[in-house]
Amino acid sequence: MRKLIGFLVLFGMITMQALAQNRTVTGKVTDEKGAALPNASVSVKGTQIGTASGADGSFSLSVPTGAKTLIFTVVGFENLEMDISNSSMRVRMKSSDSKLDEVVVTGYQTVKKRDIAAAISRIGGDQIDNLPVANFAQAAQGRVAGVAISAANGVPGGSLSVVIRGVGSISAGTTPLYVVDGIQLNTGTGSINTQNNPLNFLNPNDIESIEILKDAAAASIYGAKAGNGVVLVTTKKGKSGKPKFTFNAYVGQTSPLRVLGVLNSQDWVRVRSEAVANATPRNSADQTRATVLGNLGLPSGTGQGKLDSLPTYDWQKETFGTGQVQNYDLAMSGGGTNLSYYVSASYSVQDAFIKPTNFVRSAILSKLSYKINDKITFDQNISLSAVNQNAPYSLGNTGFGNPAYSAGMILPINPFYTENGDFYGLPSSTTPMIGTFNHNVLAVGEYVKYNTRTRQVVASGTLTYKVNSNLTLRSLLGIDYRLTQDHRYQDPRVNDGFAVNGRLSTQSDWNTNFINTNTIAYKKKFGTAHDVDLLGGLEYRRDINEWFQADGQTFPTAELQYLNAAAVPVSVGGAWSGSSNFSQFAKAGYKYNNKYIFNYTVRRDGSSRFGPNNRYATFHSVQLAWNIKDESFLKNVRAITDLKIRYSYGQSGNDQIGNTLFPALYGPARVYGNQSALNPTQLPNPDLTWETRVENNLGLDLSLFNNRLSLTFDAYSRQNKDLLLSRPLYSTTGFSSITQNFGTVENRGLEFLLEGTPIDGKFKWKTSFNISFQQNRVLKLYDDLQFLPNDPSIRVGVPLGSLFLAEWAGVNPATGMGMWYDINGNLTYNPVAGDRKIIGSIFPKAFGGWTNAFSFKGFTLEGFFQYEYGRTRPDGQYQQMMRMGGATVNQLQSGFDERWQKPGDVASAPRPFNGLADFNSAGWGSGSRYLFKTDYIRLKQITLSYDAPASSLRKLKLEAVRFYVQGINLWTYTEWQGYDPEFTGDNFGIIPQSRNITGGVQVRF
Amino acid sequence: MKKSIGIVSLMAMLLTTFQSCKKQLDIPSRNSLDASLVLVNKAGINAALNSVYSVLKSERLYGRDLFSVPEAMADVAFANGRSSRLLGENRNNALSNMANWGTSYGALNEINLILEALPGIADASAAEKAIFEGELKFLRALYHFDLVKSYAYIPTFTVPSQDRGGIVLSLRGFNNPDSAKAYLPRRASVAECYNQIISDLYASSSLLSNTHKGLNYANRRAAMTLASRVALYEGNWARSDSFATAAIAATGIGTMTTTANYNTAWRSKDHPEAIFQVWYASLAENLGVNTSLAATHTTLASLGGFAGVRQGQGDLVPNATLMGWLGITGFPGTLVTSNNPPPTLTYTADVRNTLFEWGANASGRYVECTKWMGKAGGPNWDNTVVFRVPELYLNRAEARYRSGNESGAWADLNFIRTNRIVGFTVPVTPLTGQALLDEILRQRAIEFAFEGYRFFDLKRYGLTITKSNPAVSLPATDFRLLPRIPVSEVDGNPNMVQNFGY
Repeated sequence: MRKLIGFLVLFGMITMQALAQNRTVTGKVTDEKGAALPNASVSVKGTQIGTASGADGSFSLSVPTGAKTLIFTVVGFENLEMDISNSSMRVRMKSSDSKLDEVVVTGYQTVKKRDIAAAISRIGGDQIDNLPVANFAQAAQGRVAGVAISAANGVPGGSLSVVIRGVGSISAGTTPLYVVDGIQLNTGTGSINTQNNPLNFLNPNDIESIEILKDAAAASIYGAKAGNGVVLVTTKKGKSGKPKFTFNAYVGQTSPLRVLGVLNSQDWVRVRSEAVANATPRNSADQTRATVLGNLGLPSGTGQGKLDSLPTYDWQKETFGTGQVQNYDLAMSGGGTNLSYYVSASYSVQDAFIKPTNFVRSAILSKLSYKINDKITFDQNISLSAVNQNAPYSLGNTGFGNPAYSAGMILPINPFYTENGDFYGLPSSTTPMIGTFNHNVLAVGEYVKYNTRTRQVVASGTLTYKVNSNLTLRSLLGIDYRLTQDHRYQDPRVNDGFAVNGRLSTQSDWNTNFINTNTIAYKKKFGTAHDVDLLGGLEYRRDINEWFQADGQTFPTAELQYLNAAAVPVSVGGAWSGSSNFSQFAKAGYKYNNKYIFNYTVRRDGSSRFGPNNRYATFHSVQLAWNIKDESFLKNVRAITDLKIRYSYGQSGNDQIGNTLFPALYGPARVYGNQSALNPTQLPNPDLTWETRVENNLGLDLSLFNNRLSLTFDAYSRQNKDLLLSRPLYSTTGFSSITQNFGTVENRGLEFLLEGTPIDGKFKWKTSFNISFQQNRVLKLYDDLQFLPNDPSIRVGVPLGSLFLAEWAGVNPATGMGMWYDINGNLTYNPVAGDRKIIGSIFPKAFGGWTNAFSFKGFTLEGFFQYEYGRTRPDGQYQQMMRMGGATVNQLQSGFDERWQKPGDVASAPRPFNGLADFNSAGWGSGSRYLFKTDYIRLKQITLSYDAPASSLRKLKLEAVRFYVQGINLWTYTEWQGYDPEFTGDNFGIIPQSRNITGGVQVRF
Repeated sequence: MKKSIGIVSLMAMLLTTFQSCKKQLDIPSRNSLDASLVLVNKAGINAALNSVYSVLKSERLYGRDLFSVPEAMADVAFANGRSSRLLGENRNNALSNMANWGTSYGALNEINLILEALPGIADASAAEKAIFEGELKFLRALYHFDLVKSYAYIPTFTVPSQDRGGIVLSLRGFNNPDSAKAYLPRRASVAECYNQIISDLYASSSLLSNTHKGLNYANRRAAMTLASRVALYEGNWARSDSFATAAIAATGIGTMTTTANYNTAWRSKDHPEAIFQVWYASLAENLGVNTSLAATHTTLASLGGFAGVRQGQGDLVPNATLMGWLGITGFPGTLVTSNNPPPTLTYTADVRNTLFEWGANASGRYVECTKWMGKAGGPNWDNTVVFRVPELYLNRAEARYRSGNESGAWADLNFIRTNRIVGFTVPVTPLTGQALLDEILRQRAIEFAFEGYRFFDLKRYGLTITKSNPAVSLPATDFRLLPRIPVSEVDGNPNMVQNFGY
């Protein structure tokens, strides 16, 4: 009922202003403490006459002579009815006991939280304001139960893995669908240089709310795009009233979390000598010494004294520096009778702590809403962004010039600079860098130009036609257009470009993603108890990607860095790829007495990605909820503020596969003798179709003691069927695999969100804790197979992401050689394929976050912990840094200290061995030796802020001023030994997460 | 009015969407061609055939592995670990071996698909089809042979208790998912494999002309050269002899060099002795700074440039044994020096040692092989020669020796030595017996150093691989002589047998 009133009131505001009016009522709307409440809707009871309060809370309304009562409504406050008085009315609103009046975006419509029957999490914009991160997904990390967000690395603006309720797919994508103001984003990235996360276009400070549709029922309205959940982002919009400004500024610094201890020159000589001696036992001591001196580039007659006095240069410390963080944004919003607006401009800079990697964004968001007449509204959103990134040398590879990889492994005898102050050991010099890592990474950071430019437009126009108070038609035309340009110049002064006098790769990548959504919505209350809510829609999306690339080399000088100056063209490339979807969808909602909620949705999707035999699919969902608090037996139980239970069943699909995987194709990638070649690239599969996700969700929303304590609990069980899998074929068929639908994966989980205000008063303590438990297992593969032949880690009964390796058994005290367990638990030096077993999983068992905010007299201290448990990852970087003199690279001090030296030593690191793998022994990194648990608890964010008192601000005509200092990643508990446990992938040479400290100010006026 | 504009525009959008949806959902690939459009005419056959050649360029085949991996596994090279590449192979570790399985079968399937489509090509004449068939059968033999010599025992030396057969013969094309899924391949016997290879080579050598399209493509002389080698491995001495003799007579492509032009021959883009080479026609095709043959074998940016900048990795260098055979002295026992200039090397009159010199300083210098130096026009860019003329003489020398014709063997051996050693005079007393064979094999190791011959020579004679650095003594009965067949090829296939020991 309230909802209906709300709608009526809104209507009243719009449509009835022109009607006959007799007298004027004025007043001011405030909260309990007397602070002005803008945008409160004020309406005459029984009519559709109304207005809204201004920025200072005041209102003025002409009312008919007979009117007696005004109704005031504000989101977050209890509705209030007051008799009209003659004098200026003082309206004091009481904040709502019930969070159920919060408006939640559910996709194609908004509903009150009260009416939600599925698992939807919401993050308010205020929760993520001013975090020094490049995009909203990163800001949401740890804040939502059931959503595991992890940064791939510490590259600013880099990629994130966002997994909602566990991984349900083996080879199709696991990325959720992102919808920003109705536009479904393309989540591909176009850069060959760096990670240009497609979510970077939006300044997180422009976000009003983020809703995450977690269960299949909630997501089902998005059908085949929704198999991995849906993230709905709503940006701020203008409200009627005077122009209001919000200005944010913060500056700060990024620095490394950890620098690992590596050897000095003397210890390295020692470990190298042992390694050479162990690998060549027939060598005399002199021969060993000669080899080591050779490795160090020292003359064969070098004496011990000289060795003892070799200097040590710590390349890691020199390379891992600091970077800056800056952000400035200004937003203006307001509106009049026919037009409301929100316009913001922002500029943001983030450096990594390894030069020159950075992220610079300039963005403009412009939202206009124009009321053509009482019934027709036109909304226009334009988001323009320009992101410039200095790309890292690599995103995680073993390139010698990659400072994140090699800085800790460059031999410590190499100086950074020559006596003249130039970079030491450049390839043009006569004194090259000694050791495997022969690139001066400081010079690489200075000279090499790897840049990525991303220009993005996300824009839409929406026409809304309210036929009458029940029926609304809406049509949205949107575009998400992105141009990504890479410029990858390998400078002739550094090793990569030296031999060819400089090399340049350029690439331009266009993505054009068009969407048209048309909906018809009908809402009506029948009688006093029956609310009906119907929605129907048609949607068409077309997503086209095109790119070209050109490489050239041999430049006259390092100053000339464009292709025109390249003497030798090396290669060109280009391609086009597209997909389209056509969808019909509908929702029927019914609510009885506000207590019993029933929703049904259906969507039929057609996709160009699937074979002609299976191009269309239909997805259904049913959602039920019971607002128990509204039952008579609970109505008077004061301790319980709200109680609702929910159940949902839903289906959705996953179409995140390549655009043309079903036809038999010949590809043109090969060439012989300057003539084109065609080779078969895939076998046909006309039956290719969607992965289907089927999920049951049971939820409970409980709120106690006037919301002092609230709990949201969800339990789900979900099966992903018809998994799109590349079914391995014996390569003697000429093909390695074929993409097919088979297999079933199950995810089950529990999610808890506990929020409370343990202390409320002058001193206030608010806390929010969430935890998610997840279980994943493969239920079925094809042909009753127990494991995938090409990937035996995927096996029935065990989780996806399992690590399947021979188990490391430590060092044999007698020989110093590394050992592994064979399948019978016996020790072996040479584990074979049959010795592999499941050792951990790359996905966490439990994760979540915990926020505490303490406030007192304008000061607020907020701390946010994030944690993860039960994940195991190989640490490639650590492995590479444990080569124990087996190659001419520096290594970890810890490995040196723990190495085996003589028979009887109980050591954790095997004996040094030149060439790494000991005699007739598996490789030094084999099996589970470098698998480690990534469990951690991290103080992700801590903020101390001060809100200037309203009294002093009034004189300055300011509405609010807040000063704050903020720390990111200040403290971590982990047993992980490498740089940082927060990453995805194999951790080779990635830029790790950083520690950030920022200070800022927010001003509203 | 405004209202009706709204309604009309909404309706228009809806209608447009409905109208176009069927067509809009049909978005064929613009980057690849539907399979039904390829093997239907001559142009398509040509493009598909180019692909089969193109696969030879890969690192797993004639890009690097077929040259460098056997050499690292044999007794003539030292992997210095600069980039940690080929170390495992050099130490004969169990899982460090040839890995040409998957790559080769992809190409073999393409060959079979083309062979099956060939009769139906309307715009090719019978003669053109015959030439296509000749090229394809040569390539099928080559791919099969490179597989069987790696993954199975060579008929001249088998450990019967460990013999698990030959390889899977690929003689039909798969283009249908159902038959591909149902396929449970089986290893043919070693004899079946060699029979199939020889039969393809007989066909090929009768269908192709001597020179055909030149040294970058299959030709009759290449087919006969391969046949002489296959027969040698098979122990069919008479056949090896006759194919070698026929190939020597089949001139027009590849000319034997002498001591006068041996060194300059190696400096040209196309080696004059090449009978068949894998062509890297453009700069972008080279395998780059890590795994190209040039990068693998030398750090030098230019000849004589030991004091200059380092370019490649120079991972695999000659060991003392090989330098002894080449006639190089003056290097330190550890092979490595960081002195500048390095010690002076002394060379004998064998011109083949002129391709070996000090490398650049990269954690020390080693004597390196300069057979590949970016001769095609840019760093790391070389064509790679599969067959050179001297092989024919060495094949025949060995075949003749083994069939009792020691004088013929002696003549062929001296033909090689005369063309390689300045001032060589044929000894008055011919070598005989084991000494003759040893010298033939030694000449093979020198002539084809770093070209991938030595390991298979040891393997087919069952000789122990002995190296002092790394310290290895690998008897021919050791299971590590054969690589593991990729596990995924064996898993789930009751017909497939893994090699012994894995």
